Amino acid sequence: MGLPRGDPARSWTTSRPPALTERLLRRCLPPGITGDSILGDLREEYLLDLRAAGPVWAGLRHLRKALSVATRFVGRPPAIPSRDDHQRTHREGPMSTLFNDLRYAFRSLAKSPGFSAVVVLTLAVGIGANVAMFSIVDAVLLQGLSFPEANRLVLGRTTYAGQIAWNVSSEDYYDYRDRVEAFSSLAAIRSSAGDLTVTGGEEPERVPAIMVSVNLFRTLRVAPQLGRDFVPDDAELSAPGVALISYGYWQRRFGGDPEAVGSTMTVAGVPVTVVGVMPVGFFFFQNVDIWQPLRPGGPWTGVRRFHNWTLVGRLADGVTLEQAQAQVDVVSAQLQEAYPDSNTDKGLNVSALQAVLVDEYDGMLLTFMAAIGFVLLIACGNVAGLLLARGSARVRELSVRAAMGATGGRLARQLLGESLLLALVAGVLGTFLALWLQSVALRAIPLEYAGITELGLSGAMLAFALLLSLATAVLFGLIPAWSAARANLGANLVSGARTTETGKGARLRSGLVVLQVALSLVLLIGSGLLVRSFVRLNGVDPGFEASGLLTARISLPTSKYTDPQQGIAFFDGLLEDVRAIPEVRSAGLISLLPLKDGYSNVGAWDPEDPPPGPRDVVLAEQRIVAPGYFDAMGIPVRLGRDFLDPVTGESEFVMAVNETMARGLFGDESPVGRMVAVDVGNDEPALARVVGVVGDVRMTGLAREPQRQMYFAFGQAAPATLSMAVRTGGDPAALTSAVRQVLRARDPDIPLGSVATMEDVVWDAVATPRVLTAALSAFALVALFLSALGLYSVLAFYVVRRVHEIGVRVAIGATGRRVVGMILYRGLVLVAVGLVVGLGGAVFLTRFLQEQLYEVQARDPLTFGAVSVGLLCVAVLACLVPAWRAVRVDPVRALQAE
Amino acid sequence: MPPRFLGEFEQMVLLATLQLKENANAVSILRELDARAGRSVSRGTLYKTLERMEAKGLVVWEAEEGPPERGGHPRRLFRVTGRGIQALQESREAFRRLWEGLDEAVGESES
Repeated sequence: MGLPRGDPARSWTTSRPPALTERLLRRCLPPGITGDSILGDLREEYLLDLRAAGPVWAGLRHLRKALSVATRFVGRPPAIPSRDDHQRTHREGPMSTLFNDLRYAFRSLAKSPGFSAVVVLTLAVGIGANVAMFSIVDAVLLQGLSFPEANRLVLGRTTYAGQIAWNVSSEDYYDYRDRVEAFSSLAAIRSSAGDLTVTGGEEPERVPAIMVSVNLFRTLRVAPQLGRDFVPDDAELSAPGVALISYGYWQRRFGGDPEAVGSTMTVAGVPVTVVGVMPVGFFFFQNVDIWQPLRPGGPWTGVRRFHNWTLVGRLADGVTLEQAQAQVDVVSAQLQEAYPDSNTDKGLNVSALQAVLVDEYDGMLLTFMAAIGFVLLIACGNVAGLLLARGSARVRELSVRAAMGATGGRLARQLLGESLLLALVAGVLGTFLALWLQSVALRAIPLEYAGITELGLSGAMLAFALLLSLATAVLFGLIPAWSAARANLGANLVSGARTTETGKGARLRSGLVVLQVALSLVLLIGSGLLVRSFVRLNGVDPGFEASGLLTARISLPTSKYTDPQQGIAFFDGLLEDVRAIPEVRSAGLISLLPLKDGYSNVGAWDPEDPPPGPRDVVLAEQRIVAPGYFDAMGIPVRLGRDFLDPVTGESEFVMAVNETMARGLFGDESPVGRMVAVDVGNDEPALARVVGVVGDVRMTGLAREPQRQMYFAFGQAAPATLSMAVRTGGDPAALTSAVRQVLRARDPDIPLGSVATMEDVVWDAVATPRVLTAALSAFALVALFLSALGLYSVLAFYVVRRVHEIGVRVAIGATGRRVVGMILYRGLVLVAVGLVVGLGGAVFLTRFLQEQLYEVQARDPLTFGAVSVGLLCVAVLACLVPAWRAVRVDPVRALQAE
Repeated sequence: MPPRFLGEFEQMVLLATLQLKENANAVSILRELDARAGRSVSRGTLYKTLERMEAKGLVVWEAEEGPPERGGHPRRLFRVTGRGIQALQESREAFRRLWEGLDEAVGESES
């Protein structure tokens, strides 16, 4: 996002105790001189401790003493009327009542530490997960961008006949910038960042960099914290090279030295002066360390047909989004008329930037939030059940209290106090857990577009944690409290019953179980769908052999390698050296590796059957490869051949195409030997002869069907940056240092960048669905476990309550099977109702998952059926344990017990 | 009517108050208990005990203006009343009678 979050730390060097503690203590102490003198005593001791042990210990000891004093005085009338009181003061204000209830609750819960621990941990997990998720949702969806007046920022995206395509061409950008007055400022940022080689330090390094228009930061209203922003002169092609660097890079490379501003570093072989440092935590669209100015006539500019830029604008004062769109449409019409070849049917969509960014994530995040909310509800259901059981087991204690004058309301309040205490402790634990879960979630969910790279504790998060804890306390505490308040406790005292459960209590617990089963089923079905989808996705053939491959990126500084032939010779020699490494089986080079390095596409067509107009040109992904690439990657050559030696080989401009492109251009005919027209940015297309057809490759994502793909020989195109793929029989990562050495021997100024095994690349490509599936499955399993536990405890209690009845049945001849059947029936009725409710809920809710599913329908009957059966089996197991115990009831003992 | 017996802690507080003569306030009583009897007491317990003994008429207090480090809060100086002294005497006598003849027995045991 824009500016750093978080409050600065407060220091604790003070010569008096914290005012808040004193204020709270004053409310607990008796009025007049007595209370005053006690405050004075504590203050005097605080100063002594401060001198002896420092502020931290003094503060802690003061707190301890204050608590000790407060608990003694709160809620109790003074032993005698205070000497300086004029009337008895009986402290029964809300604060002292609450304090009393909490103290009573603490003592009561401390008597059952195991029970309390189970409840607190159960709730802490549920609360922690919800708080973590909330903090992410808050940052992404609620907070918004943290630039000044961020609601005035807009995103400009190209449209074709109304369909949004995102990228804009540089030439279109300049026209919109100059002609549309609705924007106080319109900026451009290159759509994808790239790593550039920076030398001049100890070692050459690959640093993420991006080009932006010189007015970008002014548009965002963010100024560098050191040095200056770009100025219009920096946009001149002839101007000296300049750059802005990130705070992090400034610290890493320059040690935070202010002299960095004005210093020179060599970026991609070109000397560049650092003119400024961006503020700490600044982030916009891409995680980069270097920003360089976009220059008309420079890289990625000049061709109206090539769309490489993202537009960000700020609305002028008083201008609405609709007004801006109207003005933009006028300019779009002018461009369509002036440039029919490139701009027919082309327009620019103007949308609120915040809304577009949120759109990327809200589906996924809200799914998470709902799932985690379900888990918490189920946990609350369990805890409510436990408390109900505990409440009914304490009927004697509650009856005595009622006999001594406690009203139903008072008892209910005391029980709610227990719930509150449990929930608050769980809330505190859960908040710590949330901080850890946050870091896990951020590593797993890619949220860079929304600008989230770190989170931490925020006020909103703490407030949410508190509210959730209170709501949880009410949710699971209300039912037992209400149940206790309505119970006929007097009758229980007379009857001497030690434990009982009113019909109402049993029905409540049964109702809770039904709800838990239903919620669990929804979660399980959701996770089942995701698992099926993920398995399908994982099983997708990427079109190459990922195992045993090491990949890396190598960039030649163009200042050193000015002649393309030098670059070709360098890479050719490097390939030879790498292939000579003993463990290497094969090696290849490509401009952009599949699934890793982004994309590049241009129009291509059959020159004998050209498209009717510019709008009908189909784009194809273009890559430049060295001979041996297909072999190294395990991409089959279906027809024809690979490219020949890059230096001496080909006699004409050649290409290879994938099967999809072959079919698309030439149908069933063999494309080998045919010519293809390729838009290379000139007025006339280049003509290339097809020498081979290779297998389809998933270039930009496993879930995306392969598009048309074409490959050019690197001897004929000579890019300065290539990715290397090296195949070995053993562990590819072990090759890294050998490859690095070989590269260093060729040129010590060139680093080996972006090193990764191809298996890791493919693994990362499915990161989001993997995380979603894993997380939802974990939630679903926790939910299942909790529900099974809830079902088990309801039935176990049922058995305990019915011991006498079971004893009678067995005594008069009921077999074990009948007893088991009786218990099972009871349990399965609940499960059946829960299943029906859950299925209905799932049918309604799973459609929100459809976006995340790959080749699986949201209402897939197989998943619904299998999951329901699975849950039923688990439920049967949960019922069998108490049923088994029922069978083992000794009828003689059971009859005697009554 | 004076109480027949004092609790152990009440006795300690009264004795510490007497030891401190005119300087017996809550803070100094706590330190006196710690120094002489090795007893570390919670603040709440001390204040409640003083309050209870005041109710029984065993101690009284007078307020004086506190020094600046007390932030303007007064200081209560406690004094053992005649009744309090009588209660101490009775307790001491009761213990003395209970201890009679036990010197040897107690003296022989290992502590």
